[in-house]
Amino acid sequence: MDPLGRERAPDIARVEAQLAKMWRGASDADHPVTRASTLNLIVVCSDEPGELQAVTDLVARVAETEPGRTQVVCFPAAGAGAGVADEGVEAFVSSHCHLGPGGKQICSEQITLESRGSGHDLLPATLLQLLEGGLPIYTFWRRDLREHEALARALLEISDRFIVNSGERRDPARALAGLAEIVDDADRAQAADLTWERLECWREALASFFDGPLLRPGLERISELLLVGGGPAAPGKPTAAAAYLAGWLASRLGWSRDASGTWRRGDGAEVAISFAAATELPAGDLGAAEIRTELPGTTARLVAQRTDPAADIVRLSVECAGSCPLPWKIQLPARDDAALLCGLLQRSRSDPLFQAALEGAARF
Amino acid sequence: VGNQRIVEENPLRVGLRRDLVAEPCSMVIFGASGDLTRRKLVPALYNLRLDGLLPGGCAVVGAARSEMSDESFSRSLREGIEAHSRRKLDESLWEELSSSISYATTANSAEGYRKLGQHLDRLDRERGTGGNRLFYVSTPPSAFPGIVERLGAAGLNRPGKGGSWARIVLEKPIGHDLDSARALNRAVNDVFHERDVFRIDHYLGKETVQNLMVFRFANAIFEPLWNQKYLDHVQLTVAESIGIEGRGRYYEEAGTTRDMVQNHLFQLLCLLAMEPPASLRPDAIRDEKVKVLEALRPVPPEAVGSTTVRGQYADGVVGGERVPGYKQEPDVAADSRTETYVAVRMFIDNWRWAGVPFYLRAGKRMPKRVTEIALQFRDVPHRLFESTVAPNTLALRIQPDEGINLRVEAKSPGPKMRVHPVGMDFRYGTSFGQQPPEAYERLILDAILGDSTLFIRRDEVEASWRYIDALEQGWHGGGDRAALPEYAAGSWGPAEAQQLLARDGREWRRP
Repeated sequence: MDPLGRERAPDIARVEAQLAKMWRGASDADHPVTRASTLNLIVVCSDEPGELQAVTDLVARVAETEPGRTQVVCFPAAGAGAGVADEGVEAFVSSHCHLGPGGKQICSEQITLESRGSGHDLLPATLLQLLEGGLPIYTFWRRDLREHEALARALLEISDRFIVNSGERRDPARALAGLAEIVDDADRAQAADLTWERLECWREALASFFDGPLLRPGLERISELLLVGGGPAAPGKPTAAAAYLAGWLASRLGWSRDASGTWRRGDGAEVAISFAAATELPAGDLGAAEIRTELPGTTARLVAQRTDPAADIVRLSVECAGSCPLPWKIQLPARDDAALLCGLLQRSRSDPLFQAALEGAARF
Repeated sequence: VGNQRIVEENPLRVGLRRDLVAEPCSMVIFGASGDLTRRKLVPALYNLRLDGLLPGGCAVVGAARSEMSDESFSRSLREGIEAHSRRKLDESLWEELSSSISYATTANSAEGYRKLGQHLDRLDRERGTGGNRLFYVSTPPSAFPGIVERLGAAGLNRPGKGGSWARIVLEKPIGHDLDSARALNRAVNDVFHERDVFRIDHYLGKETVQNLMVFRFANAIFEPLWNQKYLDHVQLTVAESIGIEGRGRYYEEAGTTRDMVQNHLFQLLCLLAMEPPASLRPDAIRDEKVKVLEALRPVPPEAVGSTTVRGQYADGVVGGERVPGYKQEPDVAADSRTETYVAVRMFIDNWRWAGVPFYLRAGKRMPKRVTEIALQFRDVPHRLFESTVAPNTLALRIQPDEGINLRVEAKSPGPKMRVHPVGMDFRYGTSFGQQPPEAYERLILDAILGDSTLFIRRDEVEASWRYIDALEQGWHGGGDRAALPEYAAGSWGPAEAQQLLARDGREWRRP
């Protein structure tokens, strides 16, 4: 609060003036700087230690291919930052530049908003006023969805895409349930999840088991599914990645959950789904998937497993009677959060597969 | 069709990036000990496996006249991957891949091909390749007819039971003139149905070449300008900084016109100039490409001298190093009349392109390696500004630094109305954050999938030779008296090439 008791919000005109000054000073005749802007990105930080630096690094990476104005919202702990008031919103401007074609510097801008105490209530309006007009708005929400819920709701209303990374949340089940809820409620924003995006190669791997005529009949006869995920999960409960993969299989293959909580195929037979956690794997990632299925006159065990926990090579193998396909290996693409985020920023269409998988994932 | 059926039946494939999947097959490489196999084919296969685009059962069979053990062949392929793959060799993946590699001696005999057939049958049983065969012929062209004939005699051209397939991939050059191309095509089509023949031009596997179609037909703003009404002229450049790299014998026979113009440059020309196809079906696209070649204005022999320039590189400096002239290269005749540079002015006689000159040039020992298409727009109809206004140019860079640049005029900051050109750039590497895969990866996968869109159809080959034959006739018909000026290695070609455009009031771009 200021001395008159008003909540302290950043002066928007002053922030814009600071940005203009920053760009004027950045260029000279020998080293021209081009400011590029194709989107608005709003990143809401978590309270993890080092989060602001991690987000700033992420924004710098994203700006290399998706230049734009990024607003980073963080919530410093009370008393953090010498000489900073305990209430209100403080704004800081900075830029991210990289060498573009022809040796030109291509630059994006970052506005960091530090919110304290009653400043939280001012955030929605502040963010709205600092948006660049006419450009799409993407929000990357890196907290639990039930924290700062009013802000989350406000951003859902203005965003074209609302992105989370549920694999990094301490309680994946809660994260998925919260996401499923906002997918239902949101009128405008399309929800997306980096954890789901990271699974594309695993979906490819599982699909490839059933491309050939030998195993194809087994797709409707899956009886067991075991998924090993990395990161936090309660015993016997899935990680977010495992829940998504199970949800995806359920939605594609028409499995449903009965009143007793048992998953059943379209023909009524039970599908035993179990989960294990692998602590050595990064949160949000997957370590292995195992499927047991019935083939005419026999059963088959299909395993997709990293060659070791840190490896990006997955070995796919089939155990069955008769002439089984030979094992093969694939490489998981190295796609970090920045790469996944860029992929989502480039895509404009909604993803019905994701929505169906999320619906199933939220039920595990 | 077989691949399509599988996808439609697998509901897990819906929405995945790969909506078509390759079936297990045996890929038989003729010319297995050649440079192309080590430098391009095997690294491509390795990367396809790494990306999970080839199923585990796929087998690689080297086939040649001479004896070689599976181990030796496998070792040479490993060296090829280590030296030329865009991604590092992973030991565990190599271990698995090497188990799929074998070698078969054909001895150029019926018996050798019968044994090859038995070998493939065994792979069908052991690896589940299901009778699917891809024969990749990367031998010298003179060996093509014999290989094709013996494959036919051994019955290896026929699909097996249960919808399996047998396809053949042919490396360029397809003939050295129209007659030889026709003869080769006849020999191939006597054995393989045209739908199973995949004539490769690796330029078509480049992402930027494929992007030509996307750029033209997925953007509403460019296609309306893509015609004689708005374009002044078009330049196509394929420049190489290297010389003939020890291929003197081949180059003496071919020359730049046969080596680059008949295939790479004409393919670029087709994609650039064709009408929008009705669909993305392979034949819909190839029909439109053929129409471009058939609309090329014929050049009578007496006009060849005024519409083309040939040149041969002399010694000079490239990349800071002194290099010898063409005649000093190994296996090149001291009085060689082979061109290492060619520039052609051509016209496409149709409604869209009437009167628009297309300037094509290709050369060796140029200052740098670059492949580029540049469309120069007409000048503004009335000049308002005092300073020189350069026409807008749209440059499509095929390699290296794949991308697109649009040059427009803008006002320089300051009190005066000064006009200055600025470039708007799109670069593949920066815009998509990833380097595109190698051309051979895409093409081999497409051949296995049976998608012939990026391969050249028989009539395309023959139409392009028809035009080239007319040029050759003009150059050599009167006893090879056509001018063949020298140019210094490291320069942009002979002065006569500059004059070719200067006569039209134009000049070559400096890429």
